[in-house]
Amino acid sequence: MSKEFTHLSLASAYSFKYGSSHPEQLVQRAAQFNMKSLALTDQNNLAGAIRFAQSCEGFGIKPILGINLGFIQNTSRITLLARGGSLSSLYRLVSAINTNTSDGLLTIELLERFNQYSKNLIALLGPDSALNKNLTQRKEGAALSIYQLVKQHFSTVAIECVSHLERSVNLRSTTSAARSLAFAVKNQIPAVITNQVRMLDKSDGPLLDVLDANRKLSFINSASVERSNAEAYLKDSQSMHQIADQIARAAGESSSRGLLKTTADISLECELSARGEIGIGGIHLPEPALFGASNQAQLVKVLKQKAENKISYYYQSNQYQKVRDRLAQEISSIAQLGFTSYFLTVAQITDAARDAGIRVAARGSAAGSLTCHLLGISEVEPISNNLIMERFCSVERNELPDIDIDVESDRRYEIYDLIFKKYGSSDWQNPANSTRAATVAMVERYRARHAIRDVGRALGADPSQIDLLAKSMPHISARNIGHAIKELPELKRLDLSSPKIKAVINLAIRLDKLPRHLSMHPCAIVLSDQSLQNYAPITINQSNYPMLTFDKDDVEVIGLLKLDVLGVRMQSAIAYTLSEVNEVEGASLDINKIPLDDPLTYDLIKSTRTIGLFQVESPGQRELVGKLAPNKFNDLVIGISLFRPGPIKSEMITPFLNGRAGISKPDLIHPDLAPILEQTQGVVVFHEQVIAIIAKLTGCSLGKADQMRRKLGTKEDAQIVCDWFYLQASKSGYTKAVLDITWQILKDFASFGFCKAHASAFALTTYQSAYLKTHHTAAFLAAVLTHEPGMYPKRLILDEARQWGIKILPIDVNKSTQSYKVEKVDTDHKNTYLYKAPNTSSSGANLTLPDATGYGIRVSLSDITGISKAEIKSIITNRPYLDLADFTYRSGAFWPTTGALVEIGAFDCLHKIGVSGNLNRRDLIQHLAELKKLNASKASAGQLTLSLSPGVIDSLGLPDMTKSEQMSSELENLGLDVSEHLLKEYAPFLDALKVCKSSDLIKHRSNQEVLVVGAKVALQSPPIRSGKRVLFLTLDDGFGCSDLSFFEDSQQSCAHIIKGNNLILAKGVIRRTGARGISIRASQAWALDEIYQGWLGDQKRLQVATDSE
Amino acid sequence: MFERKLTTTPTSNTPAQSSISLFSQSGEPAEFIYNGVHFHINEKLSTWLETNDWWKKLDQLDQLDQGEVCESVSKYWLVEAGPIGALSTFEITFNEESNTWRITPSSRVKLNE
Repeated sequence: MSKEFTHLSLASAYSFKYGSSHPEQLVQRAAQFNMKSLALTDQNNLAGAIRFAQSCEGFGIKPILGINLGFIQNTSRITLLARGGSLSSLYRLVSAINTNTSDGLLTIELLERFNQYSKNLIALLGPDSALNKNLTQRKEGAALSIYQLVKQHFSTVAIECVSHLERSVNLRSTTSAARSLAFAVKNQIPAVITNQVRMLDKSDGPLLDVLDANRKLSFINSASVERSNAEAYLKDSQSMHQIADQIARAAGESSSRGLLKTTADISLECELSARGEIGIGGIHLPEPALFGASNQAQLVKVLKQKAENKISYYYQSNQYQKVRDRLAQEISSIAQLGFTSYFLTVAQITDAARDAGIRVAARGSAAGSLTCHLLGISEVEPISNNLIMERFCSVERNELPDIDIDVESDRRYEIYDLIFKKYGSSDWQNPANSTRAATVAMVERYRARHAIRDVGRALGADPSQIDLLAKSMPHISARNIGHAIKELPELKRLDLSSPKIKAVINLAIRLDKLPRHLSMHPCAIVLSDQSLQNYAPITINQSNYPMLTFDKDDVEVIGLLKLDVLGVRMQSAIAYTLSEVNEVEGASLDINKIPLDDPLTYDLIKSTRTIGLFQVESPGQRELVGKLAPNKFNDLVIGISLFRPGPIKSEMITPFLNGRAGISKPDLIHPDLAPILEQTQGVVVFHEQVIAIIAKLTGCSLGKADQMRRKLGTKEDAQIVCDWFYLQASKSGYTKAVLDITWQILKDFASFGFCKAHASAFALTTYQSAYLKTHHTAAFLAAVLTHEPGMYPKRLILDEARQWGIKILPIDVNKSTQSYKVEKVDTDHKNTYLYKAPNTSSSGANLTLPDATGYGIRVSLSDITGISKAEIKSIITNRPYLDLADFTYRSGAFWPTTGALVEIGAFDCLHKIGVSGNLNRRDLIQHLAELKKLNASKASAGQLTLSLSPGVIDSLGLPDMTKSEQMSSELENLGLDVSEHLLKEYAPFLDALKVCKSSDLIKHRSNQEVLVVGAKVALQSPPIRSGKRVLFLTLDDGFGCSDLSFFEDSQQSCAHIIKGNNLILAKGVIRRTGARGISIRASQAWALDEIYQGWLGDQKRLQVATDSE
Repeated sequence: MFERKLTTTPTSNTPAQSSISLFSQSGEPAEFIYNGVHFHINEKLSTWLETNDWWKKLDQLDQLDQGEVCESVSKYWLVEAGPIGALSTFEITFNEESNTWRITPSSRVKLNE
């Protein structure tokens, strides 16, 4: 008899914190052992199923799928296997358990209710079953009745014999396995042999102990460890046959043939096909009936009609023919691919969102499709922007493309609810429940930090040392821990010499990429037909949404339509701006109808005062737009495409700028390529250009050209493309010289290219935000303060507002709300600094910038430290307040909140402080203390009596809070400098030092040395391929931002200063790039307060010296 | 040819006069000396494998810079052995990592519980 064997019990790492090996590794090993089939039976879930099946397909192994579950109680386990043809029953039963129980246990009640599914499954009762526990206690009768009970619910129930060659008293000893076998033989119950595999190799044992300890939240000790040896690894067939022999012999059987045959028979019965049942390569889209069609042909008509209806909305009549032709072409591809209902489904969702007043924009390659544009999925106009659908989907590629939509972040779940209302169904008790929609799982995996923490806890290492080590780790893979320790200076200082820490590091590295648990993918929703639950198991996640236990890659593999609904704060900010404009100006603005060629908007972008704008506010991007000086929409698209490490490093922008400025003539290679290359001055920036060039020269379709473009990424494939390209293009009659130049470009720039459709979609949002900042500055900045879409702290945005002439209005108990509100104010406030673009000879064209004088922004209540949403709501509801006392009675605010409000001046207006009378804030603080005392005595008196009401507030004649006291109170209670920029008080010192204002930097030449100062608003250290780190620091000085870079040479002396301080003075050399791009290469940095105190001391001494003269 | 002799290094908890003296062809112990008395193994009652409590011995992992945290496996035999007329039960252990044997008279001779 040939030694064949199939493992029917296998826990991969998807048995979270139990198994230690990836399904792919286990499949590969089984293939090395020449096994014909292999089962995956993870604990409590099926999350590894699709990866496992894919891997099996790759190695030519037949997959078997099952699950190991707690049966009635958690300590009593049962393994369920899907028979061939009944995988959907397994999925359905598992979904039933997930959605009907909170503990994931299979119960008899569930088996009765979902019997139509369980009766197609095979159950294995192994060493951990209640049946076996009875056998070890010699209760054969009880064991038999358990078998008979379970047997009613399944197609087959088999006894699982497992020997890990443990001590004979243990559950996984040969003795115990033999007892199970003897019981099975005696009662004519089928028996199988498995190895209850938990790991790939014998040497993985310690990892299992770490996982066990973590699952049990315990140290590793004899109680946490679940094994006594290392036999639970994937053994070869011969070893398994030997164990079968031993078990059979010990059971008094003449041979192991029966045991092995039943194992083989059940394996055969459970073999699944990866393509058929498991559904790899399938496709499941919502049914035509959902759109009022009864078949695909009708559905195509529905799509065409819906799209055509919108042509006149978006286009002029002279464009109709062109639009219709392209639409017909796109729809023909879509129909051929069978994706019709995909487009209609997404359109239905974006329609529903817009009906609910939620802003929606498409991102990604979908914006290249005219169909998406006409259906209202994407706002970008594809024809004039040279966008093509083939980058998104094509007959040649035949892959279900992803559509990602950006929505207002704070209303994202409203869209989820709309989707589930339309496509969901949650009658989970009903065996026939069929939802078409579900969220998607995300597998959280071990990375460096978690691995160190978990292993550290398990081994009982010194918690503070582990904490320090974990915190010092950058966000890297666990396998790179060793490398990081060797390379990073901050890690070099740690003492890692103790054996325990060494062991922690060693084991942590081995946890690399192991799944930890499943969570909900932050934005993906699957939309399918009614058979969804037959193709994927469902659970209910913590946010109470149905969730497939498959992740986004799995879902793609089995052809489920995935829609990414991304919450984008900028969309919320745009929506908020529009509502503020409506409220303050009484005018409604249609953001989709704003002109895309507004010169003032481009002036603002060119000025690099782009803080708060979408995609172009970071220091690097500000420098780039300063250099690029965008004049039209396409320039913005190019700018967004070029802001990536590759293009920046290879200076792709320079030939573009030179071409645009007329300094050099762009090389358009061949007249046929001119229309493709002109838009970027001969530089290949976009994927779409690569596709067009290939299609033009070889005469192939755009779809085929995109296929070829995708292959340019790898060396081997690129050679195939090269051979094909030369052959086809020379057939079209192009000379070798032309082809040589073109091929060189394709080869070099393929990896740098960017999807123009995606860049255009982003650029549109960038432009919209810039337009709003230009024309509705106060409303836009109020929106940025409210929704915080960007990377900078609020105090920088506040100062940005001040610089456009906007008055920052302090919190007022009768006026402030939960968000930042625009108010119209008198225009006569003096002493304000208004930013004007310095138009110097070197900075190019004169720019006209906004002036928002006459507007104010009222700071919101939400920024008060420690205030709750309920307090805010109560304060607003009970308005207006007559005075402080009234507020304390009726507002519902807690005493600390009221105290903070008094300190920051929220009652100044109410009590006319600083306007008339002689009261000041100190009097109010005193008054509040009295009110508090009164309240306490009232409470003890147990009643409210008017006689105890407070009298008139007296002026105590105390000096008012100084400016600097007010400032510290604002910073403490709000984290914001509301009344003025926090550097104001340093002005005499900074003037004495001749520090350069950030707004004056542009007046300096390149290479000039300057001193700059400011509050730290951003500090970044992007990973650099060379391994050398650069620190990018942005300082705000009340006149704008200075952007500094610290290279290795200056980091030694400066890194700790810029990391450890908020107010920083720095010296460096100016670097000018293009018209308005400025950065500073820093050489030195100081903590501002330190040298300021020194200077103050000197001043005093000087003063004393002068006085005594 | 079918049997070979091995000399083993006595471990600390094994009296100097105890050692395995004869193996079968498959490497299983056949005869041993305990407390200076020569024993012949009559029957192997059971055998099993066990790994050590590796986490208690992390301090000894001085080679960790090169290798990995690992454990060692011991094979156990519960045997009936004796000079003629005086059968006793012993637990014999072989540790793969240290290549050492240990022989202990067993008090827990409980077969099949």
